[in-house]
Amino acid sequence: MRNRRSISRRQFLQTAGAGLASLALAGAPASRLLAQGDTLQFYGWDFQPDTIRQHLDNYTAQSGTSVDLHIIPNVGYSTGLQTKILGGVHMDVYYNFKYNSTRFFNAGWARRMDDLPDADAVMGEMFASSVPSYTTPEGQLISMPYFSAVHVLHYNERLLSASGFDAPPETKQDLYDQCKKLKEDGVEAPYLAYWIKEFCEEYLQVYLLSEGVTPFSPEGEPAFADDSRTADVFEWWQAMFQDGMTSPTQLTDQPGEQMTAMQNGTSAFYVLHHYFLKLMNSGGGPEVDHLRIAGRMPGSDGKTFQMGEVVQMSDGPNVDKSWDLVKFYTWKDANGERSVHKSWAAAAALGAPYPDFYDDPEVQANYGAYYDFDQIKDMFANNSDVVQARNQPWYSEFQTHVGDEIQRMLQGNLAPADAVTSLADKVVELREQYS
Amino acid sequence: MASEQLGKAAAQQRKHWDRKWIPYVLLAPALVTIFVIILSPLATTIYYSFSNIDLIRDRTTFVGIDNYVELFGSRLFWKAVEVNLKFAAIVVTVPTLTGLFFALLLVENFKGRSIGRTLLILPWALPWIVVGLLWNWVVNAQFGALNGLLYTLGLIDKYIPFMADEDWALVFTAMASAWRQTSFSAILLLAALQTIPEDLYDAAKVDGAGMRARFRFITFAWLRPTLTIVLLYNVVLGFLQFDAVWIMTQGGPGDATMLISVLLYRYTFINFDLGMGAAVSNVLGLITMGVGLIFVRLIYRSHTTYA
Repeated sequence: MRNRRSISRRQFLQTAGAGLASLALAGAPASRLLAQGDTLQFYGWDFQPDTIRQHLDNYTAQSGTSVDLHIIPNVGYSTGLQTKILGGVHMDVYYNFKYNSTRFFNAGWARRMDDLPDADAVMGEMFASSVPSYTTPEGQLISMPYFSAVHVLHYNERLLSASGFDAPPETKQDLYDQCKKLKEDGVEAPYLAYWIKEFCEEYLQVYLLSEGVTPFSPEGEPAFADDSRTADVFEWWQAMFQDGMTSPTQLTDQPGEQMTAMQNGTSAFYVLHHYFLKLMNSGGGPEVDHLRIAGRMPGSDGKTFQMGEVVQMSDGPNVDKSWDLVKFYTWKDANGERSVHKSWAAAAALGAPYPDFYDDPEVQANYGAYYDFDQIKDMFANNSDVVQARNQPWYSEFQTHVGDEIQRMLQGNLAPADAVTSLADKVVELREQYS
Repeated sequence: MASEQLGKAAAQQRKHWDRKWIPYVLLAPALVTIFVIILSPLATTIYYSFSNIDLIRDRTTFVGIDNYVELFGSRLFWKAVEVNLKFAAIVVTVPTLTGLFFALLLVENFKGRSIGRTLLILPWALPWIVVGLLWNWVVNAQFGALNGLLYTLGLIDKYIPFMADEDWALVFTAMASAWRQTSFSAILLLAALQTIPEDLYDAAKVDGAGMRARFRFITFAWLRPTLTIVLLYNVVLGFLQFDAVWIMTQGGPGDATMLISVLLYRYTFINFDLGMGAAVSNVLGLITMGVGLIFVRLIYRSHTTYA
């Protein structure tokens, strides 16, 4: 018979209490150690986490510095990042959405980098048009390029040719006219626009720039409101939607559905990031061999909008190592290779704001033969702009307002001129609120 | 002798202490859990709704009822309330009725019943995001299954862009939610149906009760508590659904599917306006609780009529 030792209720509670207390005490220093160790803490969202891990392993092999990778889902990334930072979690290097970069810098969560070694070389190698995207209006470098892209007009050369057009449209009116003819010739929804609420604001920049409208002043004032061409752009959008040049489901359609329409030839024009040509080609379909990128956006100025997301780093005892990792990830590795950007080019034709990047045979091979690299380079160098106001702390709130108002306008529930006023009023209100 | 008496007194005192305090000690873990998980966040949300929270400067300013004044003065909020009431009407009605139908069907003995029961669980096993993506494809204007079916049956001669129409967009986002919720409702109701003693039906038959009377006075009466739970769950979903709608429409086209939960997400996680987000959250909580209580009252009031 086993000798069973009885335990009183009091003993049980005392033991359990002591156990819980020791667990709590053990947890606290562990989290502090996490922040103070030699290992760098890297945070990113969930686009190909295995590739991110591979990059970090390569960095460790080159530098000897180990890096912990923490993945936060893309949906809710900003919230997750801010919650962790406010909760005292230390992160050395992290992905960030560009519109949050100034907000994080102002809060002291991101460090300026222009005072660190090689910063001048980094900025000097970029397309001049790209630099303001990573700097404050005062010229402080506060972020580095995770990837870059330009918005382009994709078009189906065969369908255009079949309708008697030997070149893509040069102006908005041309685009409308070509769509009208294509529709008469049986192309169901000639023009595709990514007009879901979240994305309307990027389109706003693309079309304002294509018409030569300055969207915002350097201080973030709504310069677009003072230019009559803004209302013209809105009127054109409304006409394209209401006259049936687009699919009526454009206000909720996602890129998956839109790419399918291009791949199958039920649409002939698609304005979105340049890397969608690779995605459409990879997906296959009867029309992919006929898909091209127009050298300029239709519009009196022909410029387009340059976008991308960024990497930022925090201050602290690991600054030198963090900067070393940032340079590896967003500029060059120890061998002078843009290995990380090249890898993203292979994965999804993501771009980088460095001219020499597009001359690299490896990048060209990975992008695909269907790209004209001189054209892409020219777009980055001469035919696109960034919008620095997008880095302002109030900008995400403006973005949601743009989505609501543009959709109302497209549906005919808001006059184009009133939409311009509404957007401008919102900017004024937000700037005041955040000042 | 004296020391023995002292020892006895001490033991009695300890026993008295045990009687008085041990219940509290034993309750403490549960109370702490409730406080940490429910009461503390609730109190914080109420406090936040009266505050302006600056996350960056880590500064919270008391602003009184300003957030509520702004919310109730907003066009979008009232639109969201209107849309949400319509959405909830579908999400409460459809899964409850179809769930009851499937439960009544699958409680019967027939060949293939176990396959039917397995299929019934499948929608419930899908995450809401997948449900949203799935229904997006079902109602797609170019190659959606629904259009394909209607076309094959000869009911339409051209594919319909359902999601371009404000009314259809609301109906189909609600149907996506109702589809998954039907599965859950049916499982609960089926479980309840299986507990009804066969004797009750036999006795009712002997008493001359017809099929309708048996359903009303035995089946429905027996299901009433479960039905209340099912209705409550569906009311909660009708007002708190977010994921599938966000995936399908982001609140569009226009404001057609702008639920209060979508508004809450935008205030909190896009604008980072935690004060307004908390205000929306409190109003949403009160609406959900109010509608839920109405249903409970209605069911139990009708219960006394039958009894």
